Amino acid sequence: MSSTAASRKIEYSDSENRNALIAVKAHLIGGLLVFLLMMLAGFAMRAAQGTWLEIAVDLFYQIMTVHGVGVVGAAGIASTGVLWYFLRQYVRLSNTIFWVNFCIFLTGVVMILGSIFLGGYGGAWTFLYPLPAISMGAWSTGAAAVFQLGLLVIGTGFLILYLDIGRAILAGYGSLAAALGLPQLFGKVPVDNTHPPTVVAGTMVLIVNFLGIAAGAVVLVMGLVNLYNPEFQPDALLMKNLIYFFGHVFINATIYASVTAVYELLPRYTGRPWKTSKVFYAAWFAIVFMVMAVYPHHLMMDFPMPQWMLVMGQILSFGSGIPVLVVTGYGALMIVYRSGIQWSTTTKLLFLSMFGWAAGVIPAILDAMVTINRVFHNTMWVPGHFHFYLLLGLLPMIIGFTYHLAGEGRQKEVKATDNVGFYAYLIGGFLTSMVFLASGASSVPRRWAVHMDEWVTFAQVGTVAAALVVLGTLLFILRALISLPRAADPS
Amino acid sequence: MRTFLATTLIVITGLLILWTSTDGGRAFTAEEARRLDVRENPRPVPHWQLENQSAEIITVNNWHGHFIVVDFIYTSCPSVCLILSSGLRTLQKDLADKLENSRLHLLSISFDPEKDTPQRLKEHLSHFSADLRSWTASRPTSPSQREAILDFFKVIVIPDEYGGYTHSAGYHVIDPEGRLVAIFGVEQLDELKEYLIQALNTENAPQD
Amino acid sequence: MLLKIKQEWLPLAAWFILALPPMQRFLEQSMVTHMLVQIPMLIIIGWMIGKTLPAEWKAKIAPWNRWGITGMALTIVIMAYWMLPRSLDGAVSEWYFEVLKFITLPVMGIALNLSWPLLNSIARGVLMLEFWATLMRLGWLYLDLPDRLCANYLLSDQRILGQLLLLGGSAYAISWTLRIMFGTKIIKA
Repeated sequence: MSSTAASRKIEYSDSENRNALIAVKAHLIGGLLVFLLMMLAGFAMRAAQGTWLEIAVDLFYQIMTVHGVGVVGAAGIASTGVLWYFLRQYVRLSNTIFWVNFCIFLTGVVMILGSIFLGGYGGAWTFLYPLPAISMGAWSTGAAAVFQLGLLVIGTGFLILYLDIGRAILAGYGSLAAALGLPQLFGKVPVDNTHPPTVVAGTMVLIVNFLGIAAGAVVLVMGLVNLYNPEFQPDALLMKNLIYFFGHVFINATIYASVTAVYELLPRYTGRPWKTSKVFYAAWFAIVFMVMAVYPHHLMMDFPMPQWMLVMGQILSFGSGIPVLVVTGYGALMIVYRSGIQWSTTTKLLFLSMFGWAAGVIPAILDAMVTINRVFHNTMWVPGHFHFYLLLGLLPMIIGFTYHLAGEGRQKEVKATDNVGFYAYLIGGFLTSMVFLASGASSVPRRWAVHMDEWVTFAQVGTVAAALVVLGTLLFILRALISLPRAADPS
Repeated sequence: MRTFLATTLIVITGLLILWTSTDGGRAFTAEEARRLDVRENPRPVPHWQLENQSAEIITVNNWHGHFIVVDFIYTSCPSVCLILSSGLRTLQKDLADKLENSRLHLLSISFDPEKDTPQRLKEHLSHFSADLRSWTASRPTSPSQREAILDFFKVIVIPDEYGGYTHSAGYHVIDPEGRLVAIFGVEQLDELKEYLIQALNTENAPQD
Repeated sequence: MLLKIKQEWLPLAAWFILALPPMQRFLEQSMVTHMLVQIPMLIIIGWMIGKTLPAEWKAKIAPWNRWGITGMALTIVIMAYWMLPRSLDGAVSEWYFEVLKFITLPVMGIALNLSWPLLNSIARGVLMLEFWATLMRLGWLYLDLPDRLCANYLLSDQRILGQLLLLGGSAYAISWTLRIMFGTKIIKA
């Protein structure tokens, strides 16, 4: 059953296809613009820490909050655009629902922006209980509530979209297990090499994000109840676990959603198909659980945490990089090796993303080691860890896909501006992450608006690096804005 | 279109109903509703006959012109009544001058009149070193009276699994005109004190 | 023939049994049976009445209830109302609240029966998930709140109810997961 469904692509009407393309472009442009703004925010924060810019402390925390929530949101919406674009070729997805999610997302963004810049909410995007309720006058209860409501609204939008994806996958493959390729993995049916990797990745993202957002829906409402009824004091550790489960799964899933661009595009540029295999299924099956269970590596200093969870957090963090990376990284290398690939910005970015993803594991694993975490916990090492992943892993996938969609594949030569953009971004992104890591290794704390004199040099180098990232992204985005809106579907 | 109309109608009436039945989003529980209600509509307290710790018949009218703080107890209570009564003791200590000036009176009413004889009530008061001039304990004189009193204050008493009772707990304030004007929760002792001080002071103001 | 009539009268009979004062008192004496037995029973009774409604009635209602939206709105309003602790206390203390409960909850069941099948599958998914989240939220709330929500019920009752809600919510989630992960086609294209 699954093989017949897989080998045949879904047919849509021309108007549906046109509408879908516009929707995907809207997601990408929206996401990239938010990314750019957030990079500027990050640049401003680094400059403030480097004493080159005066920012009032409360404004700093508002910027930090918007930077966190903005990047997570942009990553969510842009990566969803990537996944949806490819997934709709295999299962019948609804344009309407895709747009509905986009509009709900924008509504949530407005609420969140209002809560931060009008209401003054600056309790970080993780809204860690009970911080939103004890602002000591920095923001009102209403602002904290609107922030959490905004997240709830966005979560609901994504849930609607995932329900549609789930419905479509169930309609096409009968069960999520079949879509993940489990019957093939366990030998119930013969291995089908043409089973689309995008469907496997899409199903994995669907499962983890659905559960993550469900947990978010519970914990956000409990936070709201506490805001208005302080008598209700939920267990803070349970709240933290749920919040991190929700947030960590959501941001992790963006990279697994975007990797479909690698699966789909590298074969097109090399002329070699991406074949699924038992190893591939096993890796993705393992990652379903690992993505959901690794978050405790952010809770290692919470001593009341059950020991087994921390041990699990460490072991799984060690393991979580391996399955998909080995499969995807190795697969990507094999596809590219001696294929006579033409290096365009698209392929360079996709290849960079493989490097970023692979190398990003190293800081993650180091941070997840209990003994190291004792020293590195809540230092700049942590931002180093996720900036590495996002700047060098996730964003190259998304921007690479944008370039592909903008029609770069049809041009013979790489433009000079694109080259400047690529190298500025590459160097800037790498440097940004490394400065964070180096600061972390020197015990510079994270989330501090004002830095001690000894740390200022780090922040200043970080500011320069951030400027490079902004420059590269600006060039990418200008290019996307100019050629993306009119570009025809390259596939 | 008809669906749209019907849905809009249902949603709007539904929201209105939810709005009014929570007093505009202010009272979700019966306890909150009861407190809000007396604040907004003070009601004159009927003059029930109560029997005090010395087996004398009294009514609330005995302290006309006073503020009266009422709590509901049963003397074998192991939990919340103890907190209520020690709250009254705190009031007795902190507001001693007001109590002496005959501006304020404390009244404990038992809702377990069968067990709580005047003797028991007296013991209860002595546990809290009550000054009998300003703190009275009492019990209703008949079952129907007990019902009427609990009904009036909207105090709900239910038997618990240990042979005692679980009940709405709070400090009920009766003003000098004999109206029930406010209810404070057990945890709101400080607010109650604040309220009484302010009320007694404004009362005094014109006379000074 | 006889059997058919019997089936149609079954929900009404059940309604009367529930409305008998001793039965009422028995089920309402604990928060758990009140919320997990009596109220669901009343809704199920409504659902069954909805099933046996004559076709011409259904045809008359249909244009007012396209895609089942009106009925779901009604269902949500009624459910939200009876989720207020005040309403539940009212039903125990005052007879008119009780009457209201015995009417509105079966009405909700009828509305649910008429509307649920018409509802868009995505909307159904969102509502089911919201329902699950409500179970978990309320369960957690009942377990952690230091005070009683209902003046008519004991704190220990509230705690047990909280545990049961969490348990029910977990069972619901697990059964759903199993069905979607390994189930055969449960949703048509």
